[in-house]
Amino acid sequence: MAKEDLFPATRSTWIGDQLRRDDTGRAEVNRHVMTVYALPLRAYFLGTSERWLGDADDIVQGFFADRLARDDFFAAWQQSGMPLRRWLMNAFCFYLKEQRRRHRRDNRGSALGDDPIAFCGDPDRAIDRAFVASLVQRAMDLTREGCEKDGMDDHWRVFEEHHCRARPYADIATDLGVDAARAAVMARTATRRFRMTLRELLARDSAAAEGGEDIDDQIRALVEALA
Amino acid sequence: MNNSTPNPSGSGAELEAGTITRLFRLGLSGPRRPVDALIDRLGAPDSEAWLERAMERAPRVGEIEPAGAMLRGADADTLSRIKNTGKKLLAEAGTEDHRLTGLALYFFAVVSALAHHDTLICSRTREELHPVLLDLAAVCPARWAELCTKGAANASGAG
Repeated sequence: MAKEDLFPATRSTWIGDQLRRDDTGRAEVNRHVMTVYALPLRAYFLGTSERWLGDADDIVQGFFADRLARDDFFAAWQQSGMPLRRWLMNAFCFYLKEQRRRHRRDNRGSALGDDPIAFCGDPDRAIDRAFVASLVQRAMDLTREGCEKDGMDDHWRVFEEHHCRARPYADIATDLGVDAARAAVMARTATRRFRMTLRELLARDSAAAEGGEDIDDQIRALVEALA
Repeated sequence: MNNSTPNPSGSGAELEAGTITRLFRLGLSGPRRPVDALIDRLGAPDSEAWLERAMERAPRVGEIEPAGAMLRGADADTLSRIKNTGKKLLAEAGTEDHRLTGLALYFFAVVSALAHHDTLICSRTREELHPVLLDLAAVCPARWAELCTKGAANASGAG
C-alpha cells in the first residue's frame, strides 16, 4: 500500500507527516512512541491482573515490536480519533489477551479462559499520570540537548536547579558567577524552549490536525488527573 | 505512577510527583498578551537585523533618535515621549511591521526608564512588568537583553 494511502494527506499531524516522509520518518515515529509511551504502558501493565505474564519492560517492548511493525497501525489510530495514549492502551489490552491465550496454549493443562483484563483502580487515570511524567521527562531531555547544542548549558542548569530543585536564582547565580537577574532571564529562555517542546510533544498525542483541542485545555485536564 | 520518576538529566536525582506537575504546568501558555507578538518576532533568527531596521525606521522624537536614547538612558521625560510615539504608531499602524515597531518603542522606553532611573512611566505595575521584561530579555539581541535584564531586576526590587 502506498504511504499516502496509509495516511490521508488532509490530516496533518506530526506522526502523519513523518509516516508519509520515508522509512526514516517511520523510525522517528517508532522512536517517539517507544520513548514517550513505554512508561504509561508499563504503569498500566503493573496495575492489571496480567502481571503474571512476565517482566513489565519485556512485555511492553514485545508489544512495540509486534504492533509498531504493522503498516496500518497508525492509520487505524488516526481513524479512531482517539488520543494516542488511549489507542495504545486498547491495543495493549488486546496484546495482553493474545499473550494470555498463547501462554495457556503452551501450558495445555490450563483452561482457555478469555476473561476481560481486570485493573486495580482507574486505568485511564493511571495512564494519564504516567503519560504526564513521561512527557515531562522527554521534554526535559530534548530541551537539555537543544540547550547544550546551542552552547546554553548554563541556561539549562539554571532551569533545572530552579524548577527541579527549587533553588533560588540568587544561589544559582552565585554558582555560575552571574547576577540573580541574569539567572532569571537564563531560566526564562530555557523555560520558553521547554514549553514549546512540551506542547509539541503533547500535540503529537492527538489524532486531529493541529493537536485537536487547545493545548492549554489538554494540560489543564491532565493536571486534574494528577491531583 | 510512583511518587518519583528518574530524572532525565542523568543526574541520578528523581523527580517527585509535585515537581512533575509544576514542570507540566510550565507548558501552559496562558492568555496571549499584546507583547507576545513582539516577543515572537524577537525570538526569530533574524531578530537582530529586524530590530535594527525597525529602530532606524522609527519616528524621531524631536531631534532624538529613539534607539540610542533608550539604550543610553535619556531623561524620563524623553523616554515618556518615545513611549507615547510607540503608542501612536501602534494605534495607527497599517502593517504588522509598524505595529511591532510601535510595541518595541513602547516597551523599550518603559524598560529604559526602569533600568536607568528605576522609574515607571506607564500605568502597568512593576509586578505586571516583571515577567514581561524577563520574556523580552530572554529573546532580545545582547544590548537590549542587558537593558531588559536590568529593568526586570528593578521591577522585582532586586536591582
